[in-house]
Amino acid sequence: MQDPDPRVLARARRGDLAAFEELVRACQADVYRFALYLTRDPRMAEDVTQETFLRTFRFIRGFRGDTKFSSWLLRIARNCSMDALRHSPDDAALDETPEPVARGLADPLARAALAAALASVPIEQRETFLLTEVLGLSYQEAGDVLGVRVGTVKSRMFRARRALCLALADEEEMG
Amino acid sequence: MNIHERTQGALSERMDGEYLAAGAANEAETHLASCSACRSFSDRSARVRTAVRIRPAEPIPDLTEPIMAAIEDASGNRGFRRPPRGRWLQGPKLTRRRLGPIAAALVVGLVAGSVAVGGPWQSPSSGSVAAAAVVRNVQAAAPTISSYQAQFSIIERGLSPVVPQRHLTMDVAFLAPGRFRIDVHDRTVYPSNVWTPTDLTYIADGISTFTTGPSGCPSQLPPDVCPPTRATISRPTRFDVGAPLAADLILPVTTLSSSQGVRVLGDGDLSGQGPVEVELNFARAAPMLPFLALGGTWRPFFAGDRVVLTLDGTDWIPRGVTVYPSTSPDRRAWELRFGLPVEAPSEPILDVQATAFDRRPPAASRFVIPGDGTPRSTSLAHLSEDVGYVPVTPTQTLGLRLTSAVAPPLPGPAVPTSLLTYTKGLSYVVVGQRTGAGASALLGSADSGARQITLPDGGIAYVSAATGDHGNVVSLHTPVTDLTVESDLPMTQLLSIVASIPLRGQAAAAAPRAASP
Repeated sequence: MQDPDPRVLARARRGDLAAFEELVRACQADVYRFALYLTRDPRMAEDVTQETFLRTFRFIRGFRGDTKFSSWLLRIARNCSMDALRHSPDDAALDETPEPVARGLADPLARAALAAALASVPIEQRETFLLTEVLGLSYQEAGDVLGVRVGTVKSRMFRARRALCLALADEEEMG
Repeated sequence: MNIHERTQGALSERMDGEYLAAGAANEAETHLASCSACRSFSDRSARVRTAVRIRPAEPIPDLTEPIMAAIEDASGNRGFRRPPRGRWLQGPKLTRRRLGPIAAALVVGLVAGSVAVGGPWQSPSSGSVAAAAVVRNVQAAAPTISSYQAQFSIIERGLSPVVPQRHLTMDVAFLAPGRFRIDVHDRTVYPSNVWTPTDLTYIADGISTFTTGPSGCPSQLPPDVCPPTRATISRPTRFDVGAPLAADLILPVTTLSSSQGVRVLGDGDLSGQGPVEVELNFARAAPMLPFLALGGTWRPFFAGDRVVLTLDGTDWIPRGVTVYPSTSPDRRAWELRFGLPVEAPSEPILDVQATAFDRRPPAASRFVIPGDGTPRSTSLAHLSEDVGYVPVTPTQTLGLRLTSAVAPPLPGPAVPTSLLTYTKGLSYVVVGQRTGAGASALLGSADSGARQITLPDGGIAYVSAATGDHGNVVSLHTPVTDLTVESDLPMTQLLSIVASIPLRGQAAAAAPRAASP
């Protein structure tokens, strides 16, 4: 995930709405995608994306630049996603929405196995996996988003991978 | 933590591009060589990565307007921007709007986060999104077109001071599977008989093609330097695996294989009503103008010249292509080199417009290639006897059917020894195979720009995205067999077909550069 142009960021921090709009355009896809993977509900992901940028606008003056802007933004998106999940009336949407992650696998059985495995790993492994493997963040950046140390990202990634590999292994044996 | 956990942990870190201490890396490598469980972990992790990284982009809404409207509301800054359009609520809560799925933007070996985003395509700022939608619509239309006939009017300006404008007509016909015909008739009244009219005929049937017309004469030379000759250029067969020359005239699948460099003009309203205008440069649009490459005499075009392509908003079939001189300062130097006057960017130099159009099938007799010696399509069993091996076939073809199985008669070092063609409408997949002693390098279009990827089965494949010369190409290499699979399908679909071929690719000796993870 690319960090926005620092000049645009500086203008946005000074309250320039046009600059903030540029940030929205540049970053909304990653925010939406991350929210979609966490909530697995496109409508909720839209609301989360909007809420994320509202909070970002409110707090952008306080952004100190001690992490990358993109990490800070995804951290807000994660908080908004968790809030949305906590307040969602039911989790019916989870069943309707196909798992977006595993569509690149040609074998539909393996795809289903992988999707199911990803849905069943603990949320902290899942979000770490999404940030690192899907959005391409480094361990340091993922740690910044999640507020955990690099070592924690490392072990969560390993555990998530092992769970997914086990699911593929089971599928291979059955197939 | 035991040795397996340490090794797999190290492999996991290395996959993510993290730095490994030399001791840990050495230990992992040594252990991996003797531990099948850890090798399985490595293989399966790679499969997982392929699964999440090679896939179509999901539809992503453009939420800029509602977000900015909500922010303006919240900050009391209303009136700063134009009022939000009616399709959005003005409050902080979103309206629900049914979004069309965005183009299945290709994500091969790329992290999903870098994919172009999509959403409502009416606003001018979402031009790239509109372009992606056009690309998707064109690609989706390809398998649905099984026959086509059209007449075009071609106006060309600036060939020569004594021939400032030419008028030609062109008949184009297509009949699935794989039969194309282009006839160009030159209607120009030339000032003298030293000019040879550009009358051309091109016929393609599967991999066989036939071209006839006057030999090309560089248009910048005066006629007495290049005496008019009327030669028949006959290329009865084409043995390479390659995109059909005429296909993009019917539907610009190769031209619009990606939305990069493509801009939708106007308000980008893709609601399905009326024509859609798309802008791109001449180099990109060249596959749509195949008649320029068939011979005869044509004026030169600058690679950066501006091309406006008019597509029907319902069937996505081109109705017109207009070329305007580029405004680039480099064009002036190019004009001087070709002895051209300064050409105004607003004056079209080539205007190709459909004058009649019909989806009914043309007579099959129009596609008969004169002469003999063209390879005949045969059954797979007969082909196996001819070539001495059973050609590998995909088990998954996405509805495309095997329409041709041939052995190209003229052998060569980088020529497939068998060609299988699968088609549906304009969509095609050609599987070129070379098995035996000569299979030592990648075939055909797998050029040095090909990127190495890992398929879901762990096999290695080399991938080249479509250019003006070829469609999307995936190549597989093993010590005895080389395979090149070319198609006008989107890369994700092509990869799913290739993944169903029972051949596990290995790294080629002269490997193209590996895709960075």
